[in-house]
Amino acid sequence: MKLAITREWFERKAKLEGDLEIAAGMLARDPSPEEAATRPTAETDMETRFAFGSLVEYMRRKGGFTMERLAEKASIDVAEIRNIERDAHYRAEPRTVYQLASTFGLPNKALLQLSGNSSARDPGMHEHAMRFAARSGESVQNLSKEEKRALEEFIAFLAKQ
Amino acid sequence: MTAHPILLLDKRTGKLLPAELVETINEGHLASVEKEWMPILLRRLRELVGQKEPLPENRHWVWREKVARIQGLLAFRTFAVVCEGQTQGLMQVNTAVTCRLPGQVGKELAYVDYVESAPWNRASIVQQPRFGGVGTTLIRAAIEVSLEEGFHGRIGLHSLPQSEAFYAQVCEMTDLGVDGTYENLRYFEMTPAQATSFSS
Repeated sequence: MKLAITREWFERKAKLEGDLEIAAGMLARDPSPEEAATRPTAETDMETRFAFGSLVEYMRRKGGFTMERLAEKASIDVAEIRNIERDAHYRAEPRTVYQLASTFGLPNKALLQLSGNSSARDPGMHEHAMRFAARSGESVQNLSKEEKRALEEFIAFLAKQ
Repeated sequence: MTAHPILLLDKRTGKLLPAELVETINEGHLASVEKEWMPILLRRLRELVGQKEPLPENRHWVWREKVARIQGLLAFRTFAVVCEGQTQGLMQVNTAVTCRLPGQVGKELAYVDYVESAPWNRASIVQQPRFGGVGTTLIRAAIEVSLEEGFHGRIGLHSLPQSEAFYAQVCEMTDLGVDGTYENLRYFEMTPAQATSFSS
């Protein structure tokens, strides 16, 4: 493919583009809608996994662990912790979820649902997960009172599962 | 790997910076999406959850799965815009699609399956977008694919609702209205004359 574009063109077009959004393509999930039909909804999956990542991060911080220390304590790879906390597309393996549930003293069944490994999902799970995620802050230091309250409420909900 | 020199507008300084348009999305681009795009997108999602403001429409997209689906299929071409070592935008083009616009119905075009800019370039995700011109450069690339395939610059795409102004006003594509067969997204098509005008 040939691409001979002038400096003036780039400058003019970039200014015209401004801050406009440019995304195009089927809105639906990945994988394709046909494939997705056989799975639980990808959107809900990602959003609950997002809450799962927040929960793991908060529990880790509450325990005063670095990622490395938590990985060591739970006998899992540190890269898995990093992916769980930072990438909502990442689906943790059931063993990893089990190890984390054991380490944090949380119910394994609820964490399997939250991490997208179990489709037998409580209808309230998504709502509670999103409420928890919405109250999550960005601080990497100590948990604030509000974060502690959100964490405690969410853990209480998970314990009922 | 073929890389074409391009320029992007650095919105912090107002100056043009050298960048590359790379033919074929590779592992490095996908890793950049997963390790660099996602944390920023997720941070924004956290801010938006529970608020009335709309979430980024294409937050579900997983480029690794998109690329895996077309692996080995000759009709598809993929592109990445790279600047300062980071992936600034991605596009997937399908060359096995035909036109809908009266006057060119049935003729082949380059159909933009997906195109997206990095989250740090999007005003809906960050307060101060980093680079400008990713969209126009990728649409120019789609036009060049069309020309190379002998389609005379004809391209088509389904715009996400938040992006319709870009395709209508900046690319000056013809709006064929809402497509009930395609998630009710608006379908836009570009004629050879419009492609020439956009490229000049």
